[in-house]
Amino acid sequence: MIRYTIRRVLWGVLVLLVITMVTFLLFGPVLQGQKGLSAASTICGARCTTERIAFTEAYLGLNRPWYEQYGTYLKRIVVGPSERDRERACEKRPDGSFAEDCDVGRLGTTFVRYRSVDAVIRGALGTTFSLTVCAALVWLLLSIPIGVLSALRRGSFFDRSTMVAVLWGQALPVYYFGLLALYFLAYLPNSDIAIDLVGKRFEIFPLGGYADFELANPWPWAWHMILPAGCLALQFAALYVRMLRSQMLSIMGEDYIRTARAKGAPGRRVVVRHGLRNALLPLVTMFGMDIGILIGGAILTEITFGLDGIGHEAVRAVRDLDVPLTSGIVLVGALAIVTMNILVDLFYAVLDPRVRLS
Amino acid sequence: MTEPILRITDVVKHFPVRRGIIFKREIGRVQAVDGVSIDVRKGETVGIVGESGCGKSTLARCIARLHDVTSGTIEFMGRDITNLTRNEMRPIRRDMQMVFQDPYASLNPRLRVGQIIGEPLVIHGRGTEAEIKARVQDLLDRVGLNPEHYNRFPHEFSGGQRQRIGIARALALEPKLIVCDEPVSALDVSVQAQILNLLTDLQRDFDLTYVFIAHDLDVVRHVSDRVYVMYLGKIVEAGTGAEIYGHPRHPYAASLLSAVPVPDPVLARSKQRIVLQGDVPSPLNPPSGCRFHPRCPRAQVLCSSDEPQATSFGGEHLASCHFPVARWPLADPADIRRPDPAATVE
Amino acid sequence: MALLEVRDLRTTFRTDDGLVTAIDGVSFSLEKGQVLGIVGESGSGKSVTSLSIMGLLPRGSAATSGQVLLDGRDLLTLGEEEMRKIRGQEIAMIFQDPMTSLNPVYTVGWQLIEAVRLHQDVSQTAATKRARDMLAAVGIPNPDERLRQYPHEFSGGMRQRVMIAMALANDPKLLIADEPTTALDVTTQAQILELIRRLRTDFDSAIVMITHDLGVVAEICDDVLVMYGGRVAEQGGVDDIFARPRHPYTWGLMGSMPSRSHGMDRLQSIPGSPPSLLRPPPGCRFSPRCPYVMDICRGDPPPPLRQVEDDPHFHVEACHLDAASKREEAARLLAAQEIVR
Repeated sequence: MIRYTIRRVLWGVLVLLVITMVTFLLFGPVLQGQKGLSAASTICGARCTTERIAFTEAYLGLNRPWYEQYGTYLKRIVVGPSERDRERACEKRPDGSFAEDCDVGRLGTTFVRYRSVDAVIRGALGTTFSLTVCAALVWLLLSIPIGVLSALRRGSFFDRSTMVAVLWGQALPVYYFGLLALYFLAYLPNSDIAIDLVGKRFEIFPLGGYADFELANPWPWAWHMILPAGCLALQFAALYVRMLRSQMLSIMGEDYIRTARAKGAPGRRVVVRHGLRNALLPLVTMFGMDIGILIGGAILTEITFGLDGIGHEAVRAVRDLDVPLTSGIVLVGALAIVTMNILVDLFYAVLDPRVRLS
Repeated sequence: MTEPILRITDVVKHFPVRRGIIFKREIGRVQAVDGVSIDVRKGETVGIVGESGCGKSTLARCIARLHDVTSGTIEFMGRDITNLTRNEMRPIRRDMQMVFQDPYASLNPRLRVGQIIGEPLVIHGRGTEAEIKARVQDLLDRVGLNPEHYNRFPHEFSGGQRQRIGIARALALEPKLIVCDEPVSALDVSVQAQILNLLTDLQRDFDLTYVFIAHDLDVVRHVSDRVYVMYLGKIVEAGTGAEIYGHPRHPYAASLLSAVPVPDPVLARSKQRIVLQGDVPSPLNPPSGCRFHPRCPRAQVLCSSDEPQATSFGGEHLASCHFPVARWPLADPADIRRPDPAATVE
Repeated sequence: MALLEVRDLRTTFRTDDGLVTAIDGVSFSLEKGQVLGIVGESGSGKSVTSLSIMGLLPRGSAATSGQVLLDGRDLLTLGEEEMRKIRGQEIAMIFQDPMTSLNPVYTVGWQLIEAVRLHQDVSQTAATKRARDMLAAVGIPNPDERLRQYPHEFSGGMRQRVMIAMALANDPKLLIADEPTTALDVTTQAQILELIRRLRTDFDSAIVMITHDLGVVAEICDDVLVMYGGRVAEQGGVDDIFARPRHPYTWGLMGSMPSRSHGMDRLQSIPGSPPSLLRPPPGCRFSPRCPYVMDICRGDPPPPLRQVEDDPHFHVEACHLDAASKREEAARLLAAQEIVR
């Protein structure tokens, strides 16, 4: 088990290394070759002289060979920003220290907003993380009972209506659902139409935005999360219901289910301890991957509900040709996926003894 | 004595087991087939019998060159086919066909029966479309199916009928040798008998030679002229059916025979059985010396150190055992127990 | 009173293609310590019989009628909860494929302990001890260590032993074994049959042995029920059936066995395939494959079960052929067969 863990972690590190290399090369030397896209010309603006560009290049270290640049880049990610990075980003006090708010990070500074990439991502991550966790909770709580019941009552009215709902859930994109939800649950009750109809406005849900989570009063946070997390969850719930239903259908036909029944196990125990326990196995893999992908940014949901999450930042970064931010987000997304992948594999090995030894 | 149509000499098939983080290194080898020699003469049926994991199916696949052998030679109709390429094998495959165990899995569900049986004819360019159709219908008739069913799909047939389709496909190119790998073990008893009868009839009519691989000793005895008994990748005993079933010499063959249920209650009650203990060891790490020694009721110290060589027991009867079974049928449980070491030293 | 008495058992499935009668009027009785063999090919209804007794068929789509009396109590009238208490405690079952019959994600110990604690109000420690003792009783070496292992760490024969240990954990009165050795190699089969033979005396339970193999029947059964197409073709003591088979299907089954046809070039096979229960042939269900078929065989009603005249014990068969012809044919066929031993 320990060997297995080490092996998986080593693999993960290797994958991340390759990803840093690819993102570096893509956003660095490869983009450099494109006229008007190089970091130096982007930074110094449209009316830039050749000397000015050369100076910027030298200042940013872009005139050094790519492997040296990659080394610096990697070193900064691993050990943190160097003195030189700080000097470049912040004002040095007379005593040689930096201001407390000196904003430098391992991932560099954004081109556009004069903040460190780390700070931008840290700010966005909270939102995305909240969204992901809330949505995941909702879709699991929805899909597990529905999937199981649907499989157990195959062909019933419940099963057939579930399958229709699943089809809708999967076919309609999140911005469609999201806009409908916003219109009917946020905009309409709080508009003049509401006054015309019932003579009063209601602020049922906000039209967007995010409130930080506070332990003392989590309500504002939750209030902002309900619609986006709900809409995101619906889409995943549809997928999970379908997966779990088909898993349960095949598992409940297994010989060991018949054995459990022949032993005299009560129906609920057969379904939960023997059936569901096995049916959830493939879903664990899927769940881990989905969480990883969502932490890398739930772009459509974030944009629909005006949440400043990773996905939203990613779209902005690409639009602004903000190379450090883009590569930083790619890296964070990759880290999330690789980490979830390792966690899933380890968790799976605990859940399924058959993979433990191999 | 006729020249063998198929001669397998010292065939070894090992499957390497690899492990490692990035670079895979070999940590062991599954010794599926380990030095097997078999002669098959024209017109006879050679049975290969053994329990699961003994390597009999791997051997069948080696013969048909579906696996490359690790070492040893396979000669077919006087030609060494051990190292032929896929292209070089193509003309050989006309003369050597295979019939598989699972009639459900070995037929393409999307092809019509006529296409399945006619496929080898088309591949080898045997005649026009009309000629091939006529030939396929003739084959369907030969294996006891209705030629009218030419356009049906495999799922429209029962298990036994599907096995007939598999046999018809094997027959299409008029092969000399058919390798049958557990052809009847997935079938009901009554249907199994039909297929065995069909194979017998076809052998007579088409002058076929069979290599017949099965785990069912009674089935192998029924169809085979000569029988090889395999255990953990090796032949432990060989001979004609009458020799082996009449007086098995290897304690493994004897245990197998005594373990088969006798379909008669009176005989069953009077029978002496040898019930082997434990399971077949892993072919990844087979026992030293005689591979059967950890389970053998007759094993001595010698058996764990020295691998026994094949010894003749008259006629074609060969067995590889240091302490062969002296008396058969077993009259007394003592007959199979440890031999008196003093008595066996010659 | 017999331990188990099954009277006129009939099970019907509701399918998309209409009602299917999978078993049609099966009756038998079984005493303590006896082994009853149910023999047949696919679609004979032998497995449905066992699942009907256990009440394991889906209640929605399967309807069972008749009586299943265990110690005089009719199991078919019991509710699900009462039936659940009987399953695993009074009637236990083992299945064909030991490779898939154990839950892969729990240790063998967990599954054995579950079996004990479902029916006995004992502590975890006591249940563990019972599980360990059962593993030892079915001949599994190092039971303490084996309890902590998962099914995939056991060979096929060992898993079947675990299944047997689990079935016997609550000292059931009746054990139903559904093709318990079919998926096993012949030497492992011999081990398991030996074990069942021994347990029958040690545990003193009655056994219903479902199999397609007349060899297994001859080896361990006292009584036999030959089933075909969901009906009883022939039924009686094992010696009577093998010495004086009276139904053409029994003859065909015997003639199909290579081990009873020593020295013959061809086997006396039965033409055609076992019937589909979806569309069973009218009249005698064996009639389309029967070499002795007469006009009466093809029309309803099917032949009734009749006592074989020249047998003093209970021995019935369902065939329209007259007794004298059957006697002659059976004698002729048996004389031609030489049994391999």
